[in-house]
Amino acid sequence: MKKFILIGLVLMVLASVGLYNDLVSSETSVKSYWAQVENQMQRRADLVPNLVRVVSGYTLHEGKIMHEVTQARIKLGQASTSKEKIEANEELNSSLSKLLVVVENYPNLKANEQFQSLMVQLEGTENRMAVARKDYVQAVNVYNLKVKKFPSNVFASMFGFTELPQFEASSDSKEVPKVEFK
Amino acid sequence: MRNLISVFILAILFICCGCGGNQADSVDFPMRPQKDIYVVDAAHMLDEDSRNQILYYGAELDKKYKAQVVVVTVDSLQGLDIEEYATTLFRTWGIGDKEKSNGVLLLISKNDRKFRIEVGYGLEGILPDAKCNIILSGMQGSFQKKHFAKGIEDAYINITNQIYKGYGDDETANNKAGTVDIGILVIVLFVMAISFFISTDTLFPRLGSSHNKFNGFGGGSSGGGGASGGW
Repeated sequence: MKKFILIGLVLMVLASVGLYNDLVSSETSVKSYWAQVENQMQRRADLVPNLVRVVSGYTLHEGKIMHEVTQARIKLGQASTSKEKIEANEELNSSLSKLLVVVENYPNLKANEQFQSLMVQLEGTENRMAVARKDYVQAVNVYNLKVKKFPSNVFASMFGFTELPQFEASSDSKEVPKVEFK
Repeated sequence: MRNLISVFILAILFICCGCGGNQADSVDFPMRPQKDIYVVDAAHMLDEDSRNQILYYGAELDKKYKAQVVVVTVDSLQGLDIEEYATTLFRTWGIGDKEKSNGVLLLISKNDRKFRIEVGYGLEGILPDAKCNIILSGMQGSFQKKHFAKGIEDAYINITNQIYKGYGDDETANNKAGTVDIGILVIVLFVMAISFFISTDTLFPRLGSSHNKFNGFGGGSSGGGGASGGW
């Protein structure tokens, strides 16, 4: 009888270790996907100075929007918490959207090769961000389920694993529009 | 113990259900190719010659750097954005080496008149978006003249050349398959003959066992990098 109890205990310990490690790797996964999201945010922000430079060369009276875009970028650079970064990124989203709407009025600008190259890069970054965000959302879902569901929730509360925040984009955030070159 | 197991299994199934809700789930992607993995020409846009050339260049690059460049033509994107289609296909097949993540997918949808180059994480430096866009512009020119096979082949050569260059290699995919150096050919044949005799497959031949080493995709992933276009 004692032998069975011993074996049972050993199995439980092994299972616990397994579940704990599983939580750890899930959490690590979430963190690394978040790092990728921040990476792409940064990548897009890095395109802004060039964009502003090229657009300024062609537009005369759009100082206000240029200023908005530049300010949004600075704000993103200063943001430290994830929440702040998401907010700042949304602001950059909306000011870039406005800028690209304005650009439609300047066919010479649209024909500029540098501008076109920047647009390609911008679209590429938007896409990367969408993918990074989706990966993150999926990872968070998997992790949160583990934290909440039995039997891993037992270990979650024991070792301090809590639910991680989902990526909440504000309801009025727009996608940055694509510039048509036709 | 049995209860614990069944609860555990239920939890796993629940998690799997929770991960669904993807638009891409209802789309029929082409089957992962078991051989000639560098070309999946479901929309029949290539001719025999171009197909063979691409297979040759693709295999060369794969052998040398484990970088896998794959052309896929489909009739329709079935309502998906080409970006989502490409990323999903890329990841499902696992194009490129797992460690290096050096895969590239050149996707063309015939009826949607759209194409995309999707670049694996590991090649984003060598094939930045702007470069992909330039390659696609070239292909667009050919497509507008309805030279699909040539357009695809040229784009493929462009992509593989970029990768060689990026890896600091002077090699280019310009040599047509017939003009391989004779000396190298002899060595290759010699090695092939030896390995043929050594391999147990000659003693116990199995069907379809001839494609051993370069059989499948390496398990690489992509992050949405590349460029899209259309004609």
